[in-house]
Amino acid sequence: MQQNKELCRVEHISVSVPYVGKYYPAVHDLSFRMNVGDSVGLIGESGSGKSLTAQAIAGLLPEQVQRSSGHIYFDGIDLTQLTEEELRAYRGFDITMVFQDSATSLNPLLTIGYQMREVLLLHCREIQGKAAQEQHLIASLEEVGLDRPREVLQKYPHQLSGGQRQRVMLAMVMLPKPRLLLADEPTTALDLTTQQQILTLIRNLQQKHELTLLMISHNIQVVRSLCERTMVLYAGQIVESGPTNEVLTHPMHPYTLALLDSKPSFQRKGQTLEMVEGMVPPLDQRQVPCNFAPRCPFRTEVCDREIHEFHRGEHSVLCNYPRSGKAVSV
Amino acid sequence: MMTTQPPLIRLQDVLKTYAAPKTSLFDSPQRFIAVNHLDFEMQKGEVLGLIGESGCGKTTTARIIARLLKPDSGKIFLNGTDILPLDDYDFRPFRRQIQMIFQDPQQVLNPSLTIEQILMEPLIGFHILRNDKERREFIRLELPDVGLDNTYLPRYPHQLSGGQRQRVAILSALLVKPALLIADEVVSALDLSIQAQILNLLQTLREKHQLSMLFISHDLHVVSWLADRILVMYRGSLVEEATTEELLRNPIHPYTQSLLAAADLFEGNLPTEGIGWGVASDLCCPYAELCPQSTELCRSQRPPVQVLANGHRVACHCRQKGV
Ligand SMILES: Nc1ncnc2c1ncn2[C@@H]1O[C@H](COP(=O)(O)OP(=O)(O)OP(=O)(O)O)[C@@H](O)[C@H]1O
Ligand SMILES: Nc1ncnc2c1ncn2[C@@H]1O[C@H](COP(=O)(O)OP(=O)(O)OP(=O)(O)O)[C@@H](O)[C@H]1O
Ligand SMILES: [Mg+2]
Ligand SMILES: [Mg+2]
Repeated sequence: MQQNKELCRVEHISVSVPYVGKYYPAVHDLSFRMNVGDSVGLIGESGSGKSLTAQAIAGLLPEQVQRSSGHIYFDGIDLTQLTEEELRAYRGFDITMVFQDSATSLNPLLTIGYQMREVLLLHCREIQGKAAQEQHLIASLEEVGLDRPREVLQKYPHQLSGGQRQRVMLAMVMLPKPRLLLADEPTTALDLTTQQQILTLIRNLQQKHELTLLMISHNIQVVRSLCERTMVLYAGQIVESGPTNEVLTHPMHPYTLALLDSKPSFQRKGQTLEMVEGMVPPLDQRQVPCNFAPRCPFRTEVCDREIHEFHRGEHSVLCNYPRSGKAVSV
Repeated sequence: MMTTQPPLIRLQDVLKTYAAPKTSLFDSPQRFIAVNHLDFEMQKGEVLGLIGESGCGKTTTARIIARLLKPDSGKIFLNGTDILPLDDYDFRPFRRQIQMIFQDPQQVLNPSLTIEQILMEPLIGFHILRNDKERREFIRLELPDVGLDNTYLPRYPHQLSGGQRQRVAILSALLVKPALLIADEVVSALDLSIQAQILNLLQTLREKHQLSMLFISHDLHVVSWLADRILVMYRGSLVEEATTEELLRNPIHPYTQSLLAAADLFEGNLPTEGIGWGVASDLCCPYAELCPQSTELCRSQRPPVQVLANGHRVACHCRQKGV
C-alpha cells in the first residue's frame, strides 16, 4: 500500500445553515487530511456537525445549506472549484456516502434489485452482460451478510428490516469500489455479529482496494476497532484529534472525557449515568473562542478571552486546561 | 399475592407471516414466518428488553402490539382486555396507553410541520391540557428533558440532525404519558452523552410513573442497564427469556450464549455466522443449523418453551434432556 500519499484534504471549511431567517455556521473552520488507506473516525455530540461535514466533502449538502468557505482537495483537485457536471465524475463513483437515514436514501417505489442495477449501469460499466451483473449483485449482498440475496433483490425497501436496509445501502455504496467512503452511522441498526461482519468487510476492502474511510459513529467500539485516527467534534469545531487509542484511552478535552464516561453497562445498573450538564449552545449563541466553556467544569476567565491548542505527539486538543489524560475504560 | 392484577400486556400465540418473493417462476408460493407463535407478558412498570439479530422479527412484534400490523393469528391482551377484535372506535380509549418510537424516526415526523406543530399534535389529539397555550408551555417545559430547547420549535424535521430528530420522536411519544412505551432502537443513533441523558430520563419515568417499556436494542450494554427482563428472539421464535441478572449469568440457550459472547469478544475475531432469515418452520429448532449441540431431534421437532425456576423460559431440546 502506498503510505502517506494524500487522498483528501479539507482546508478551513465552514458550513452555514438557515435558522429563523439568518445563516449561522454549523461547521466552523474545519481542517484535516486523509491519506490513501486511512480510516478516520468522527465522533461528537448530536448536532455537532458530523453529518454536514461528510455531506460537504461528498458535495451533497442539503438545499439551503451553504458551504461558506474553504477548500476540499481530492487527489490534488479542488472539488470546490468544479462545476456540478465535473463533480459528477467523482460523486457516487470515487467518493460514495452512506447516509444516516438509510431508509430515506432508498427509493420506496423501486425494488432493491432495480436500484442496485442502476448503480451498476452507471458506475460499473466493466461488468457486462445480465448474468454477470446479477452474479455481481448477489455476491455483494452476500458480502454484507444478507442471506437469500435473490429474494432481497426482489423486495421493496419497506419489506426489509431496519438492519437489512442498512446492509443493502452498504452493499450499494461499495459496488463502484470507491476510493473514499464517507459512512454516516452505517451500523447503528445492526447486531454485534453483523457489525463485526461489516467491519471485517470494510477492513478487507481497505487492504484490497486502498479504500479510505471517514467513519461517523456513536459507537466507540466501532471507531476503536476500525479507525487509526479519531477526531472529536463539538459545536462545529474539532476539539480533539489524534491516534484513536490515545484519544479514547487518554482523552485530553473535558468534553471527550465526559462523553466516554457516560457508557451504560450491567455493572452500573440502577445507577444514574454520568452526563455532560447543559446542552450544545444553539446555533445563534455559539461563542468563540470556546463553545464548550458554558458547560465546562474547568472554565476560567481565560477561556472567555482566548483558546490554545495543545499537542502531545500527534494528539492535539483545543483547550486551555487539557486533562492529563486519565485512563478510561470503554 | 392477594389480588392478581392482569399483566399490562400479554401476547398469546402470535403468528405473523409474509408472502415470500418467488425466486423462480416455478416456485410454489411460500409464506415467510416473521413472528412464530410468540408468547410473553409484561407487568406494569416493567422494562422488557427484546434482543436478537437483525431480521429476527423484533420490529414486527412491536408493530403488532402497537396495532400497526395485524397478526395472522393469536391474541393480545391489554390489562386483560383482548384488543385485537376491537375496531378502531372501540380501541380509542386504549390508544393513548401504547406509544411507539420507531427505528427510523425520519419516516414518522411529518416533513411539512414544524417541530412545535409535531409535538402539539398528540396533545391536541388526546385532549391533554385545556388549551393550546397550556400545551405550548408544557412542551417548552419538557424539551430540556431530551436535550433540546425552544430554539428547535420553529424548525422543520429536515433541518435537524439525525439525533435531534430522534429526540423529537422520543419526546412526542412521552408527552402523552403512555402506560407502555415501545422503543425500537431509540438510543442507537445518539452519542453516549445524549444517550445517557435519555436513558436516565426513561429510568426516572419508570420509577415515578410506573412506565412500562418494551425496549428493543442491539446494544447489550444498554439493554442490561435498563431492562428488568430480557427476551431473546431468533428467526421469529422466542428462544430464551429471564431476568436480566439471570440471563447474563446463566444463559442456557446456545444462541443466547453466542450472543453474549459476541458482546464481550467484540474485538476478537468472531466466527461470522450465517445470519438473516432462513425460513422459520414448525418442523425444527430455528437454531438447529448453526447450533454446535444440535441433534437429530432438533432438526425434526420444534422445541417447546419450558418454564424453569424464577420464570426463566427457554426453548431448547438439549435442556430437556438435561445436557
Ligand atoms: N438542512 C438544514 N437546515 C438547517 N439546519 C440544519 C440542517 N441540517 C443540519 N442542521 C443543523 O446543523 C447542525 C449540525 O447538524 P448535523 O446533521 O451535521 O449534526 P450531527 O453531528 O450529524 O448530529 P447527529 O449525531 O445528531 O446526527 C445541527 O444543529 C442541525 O440542527
Ligand atoms: N412487509 C414485509 N414483507 C415481507 N417481509 C417483511 C416485511 N416486513 C418485514 N419483513 C421481513 O420480516 C423479517 C422480520 O423483520 P423485522 O423488521 O421485524 O426485523 P427486526 O428484528 O426488527 O430486524 P432489525 O434489527 O434489522 O430491525 C425480516 O426478515 C424482514 O425482511
Ligand atoms: Mg448526523
Ligand atoms: Mg427492526
